Amino acid sequence: MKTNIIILFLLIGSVAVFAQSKAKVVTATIKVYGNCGMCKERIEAALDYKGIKTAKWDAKTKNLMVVYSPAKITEQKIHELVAAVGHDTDKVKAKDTIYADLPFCCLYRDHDHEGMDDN
Amino acid sequence: MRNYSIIRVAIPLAVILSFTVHAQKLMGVVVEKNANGVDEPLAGANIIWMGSSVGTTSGSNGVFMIDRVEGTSKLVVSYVGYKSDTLTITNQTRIKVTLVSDEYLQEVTVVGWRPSSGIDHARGINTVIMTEKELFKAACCNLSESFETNPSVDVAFTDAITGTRQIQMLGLSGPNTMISIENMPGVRGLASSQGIQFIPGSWINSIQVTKGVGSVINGYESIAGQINVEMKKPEESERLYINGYVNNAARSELNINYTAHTSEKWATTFLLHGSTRPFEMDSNDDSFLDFPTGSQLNAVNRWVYNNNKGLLGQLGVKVLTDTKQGGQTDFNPEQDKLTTNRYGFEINTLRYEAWGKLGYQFTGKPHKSIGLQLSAVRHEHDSYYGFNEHRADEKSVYANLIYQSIIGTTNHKFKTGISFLYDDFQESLINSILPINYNGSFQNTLSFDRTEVVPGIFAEYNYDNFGKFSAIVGARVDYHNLFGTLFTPRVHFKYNATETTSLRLSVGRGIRVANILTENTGMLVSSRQIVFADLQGNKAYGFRPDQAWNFGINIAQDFTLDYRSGAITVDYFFTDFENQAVLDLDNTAREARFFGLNGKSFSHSFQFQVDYELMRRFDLRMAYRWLNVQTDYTEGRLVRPLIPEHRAFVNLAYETKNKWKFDYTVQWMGRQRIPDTSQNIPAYQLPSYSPDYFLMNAQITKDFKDKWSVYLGVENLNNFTLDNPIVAADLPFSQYFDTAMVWGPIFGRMFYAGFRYRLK
Repeated sequence: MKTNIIILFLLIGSVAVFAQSKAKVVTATIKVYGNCGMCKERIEAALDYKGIKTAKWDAKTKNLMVVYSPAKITEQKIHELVAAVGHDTDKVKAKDTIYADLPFCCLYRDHDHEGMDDN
Repeated sequence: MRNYSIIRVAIPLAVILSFTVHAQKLMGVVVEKNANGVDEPLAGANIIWMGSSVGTTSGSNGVFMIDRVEGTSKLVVSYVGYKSDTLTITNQTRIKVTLVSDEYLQEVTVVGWRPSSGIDHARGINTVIMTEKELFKAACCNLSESFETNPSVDVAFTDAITGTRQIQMLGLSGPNTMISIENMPGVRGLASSQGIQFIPGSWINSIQVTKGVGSVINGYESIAGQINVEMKKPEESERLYINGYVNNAARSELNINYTAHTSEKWATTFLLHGSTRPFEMDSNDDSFLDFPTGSQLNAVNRWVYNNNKGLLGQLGVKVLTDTKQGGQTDFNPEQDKLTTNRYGFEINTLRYEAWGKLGYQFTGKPHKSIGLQLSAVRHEHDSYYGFNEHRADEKSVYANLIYQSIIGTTNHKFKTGISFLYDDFQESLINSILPINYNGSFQNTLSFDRTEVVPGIFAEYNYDNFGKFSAIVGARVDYHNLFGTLFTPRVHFKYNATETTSLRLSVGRGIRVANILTENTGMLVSSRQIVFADLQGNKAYGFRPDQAWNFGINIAQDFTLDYRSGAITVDYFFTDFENQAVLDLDNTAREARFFGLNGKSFSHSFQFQVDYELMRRFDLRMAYRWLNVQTDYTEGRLVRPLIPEHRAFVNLAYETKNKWKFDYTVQWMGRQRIPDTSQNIPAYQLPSYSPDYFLMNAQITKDFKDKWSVYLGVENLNNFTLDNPIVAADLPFSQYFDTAMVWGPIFGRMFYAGFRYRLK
């Protein structure tokens, strides 16, 4: 029985861990441009950041759902974090030099076709 | 708030300003159209302004950036093997350039390998897939050690000296679970004793664990479940992968995987494994080694063929040699084998395998395909334990032809085909001191030579409305030359009650011919007399095949708590044996008695599992499993021995952003019934039940860039061991000697370290 009690403690301990992270948070939806699963990984990894609880980006709608604690991080900073890895948001544009290093499948900006073909 | 709005205006402004400064640059991407008309990047294309020296090349993603040059607007884009393109640039800032291949060179264009879509795994069946990430949680060493974080699979030692491990699912011993390798016969026949130690961990790509009956496509053998191992494949493996491992008892392993794409259509992978346990070690001073010394060499070479027109093929060969020696310290086989000088054993295994797969995908009909699987195995097992000598030689051939298509729409799929199994065993058990009791006649040598020939047909229908409901209904009929017609029906249902809730049911029959000696080698490592009683015929060992019905229900619920996702899984399985060759250790402590079931034998299994992301990159898994396994023995209905009724574990996995990984597992094993030893003299009597105990493992892994990773771990952190794992260790030639009464770890805390190196 003693050991059963220990197991019980472990379970309760874990539940306590769930409960303690109930800080004040807000949820925001941000437009972030990208194409594919690799983009999703990159965007969500960039938002693995202090003050951000969770970040989920949807490739179809281009909507980023981000839950963060305003006491620890501003929404502007979130835009910057995303742009810093090469993805434009509705507020901050990524630098061309960073964008140019994205893998081919992630090139989300419109590329005007050809120009005038001389051949 | 005021400041805040100023920033809001100021930053976009700054962005726009900085953007106009860079407008003098031109960005572009160079692509080609592939065979399917999809754009693919061209890396290394030359880009130059006509009449200037200003140029650049495209990167691996096809992108280039070039400064605008005064006085020229003509941009030349060229690439060896492609027609050059000259473009006039006016005010564009981003362009796309599509190059067309030179016609003459087009034919030698190398097409990259893509993962084969050969066999899809029936989605309606409840299968847990363990990927490399999961397998790396316990870095050591082979398939027998891969299930630490999987609550459905238990792994236990068969005895205290050979180091042999067997898996259990639903509380039923290893061979009740069908272990296949890439959906072909894997760990069965003579391999069922040592076989899971012959699949090195670093050869494994993923493991699929199915509880309860599996698909009928792969045979009639799965009763408790199916474990399918996918090995590393040429089309998706790194070029070079090296793994080294060593622990503080000097157990050392080296694995080298090498993959080469030899031509447009062929690719090959070599999988090489060498391991050794060089030193004798007796940490509990009972005069017996804690684990045997020995070594293993194991090599696979496999090839895949893809003509990119629907024809796919695979070929592979495997060679394995494994030796183990153990028993009392300083046991020297040359002087001591089959004497009472010192107790010892040797197990020598030699195994050859060859296999092939051929598949054809009908052009323009993605759902219609035909596949043939072939394999041939030769397995030689030569062993002795004290005075018990066990020798066996198996030659096996397997063929399976599968046709799959749809009926009208993809809502209705089916698979059907024929199979053939040839299995020839030359097997003998010898004991010159203590004769074997075969149905009342006492013999020093017993041979169990047999040839099994089993042709079969099967069909499986799969309904999926791509919404809430799917069903798989299958059946197979096999004709066994020794045991007649075997009928195996199986059904699986899946119902998605909501987007986050799924309910699954499975019912089916499993049948298998038990390889009684191979599956119970622990009995040979004792002074128990081997007894065969209540025979059911004169085929194989004298027993009809094991046959059971299995019923399962599984409910999975995904949830989100505090913005983090998790899942709760609950399942219950009931296995009811119609026939079984049962091992009885309770009748008397002097005998290991095999008898044909005459009554009930069943297993109830209930499992509860929670997976949850506690914090970013911090995962928790908790599981609890309850078993009730009982059998009618001659002395009445008893709980099966040496199976923990309760097992629970907590696994914590944390990963930092810079790729440090921490894993910790604590397991709790409930008490286990120990077979009756009351006939022994008091010094050699064991309690009726083992105590419960905890086990802890921990591991730290660090990944460096994408090439190197190193790991350091500890098994059995809390250093829990059995005090006296061997009964009568001081009198190994007495009638009391027994090493099979093992219910926990034999060796204590063990540190290990290793590395992985991969070259893409």
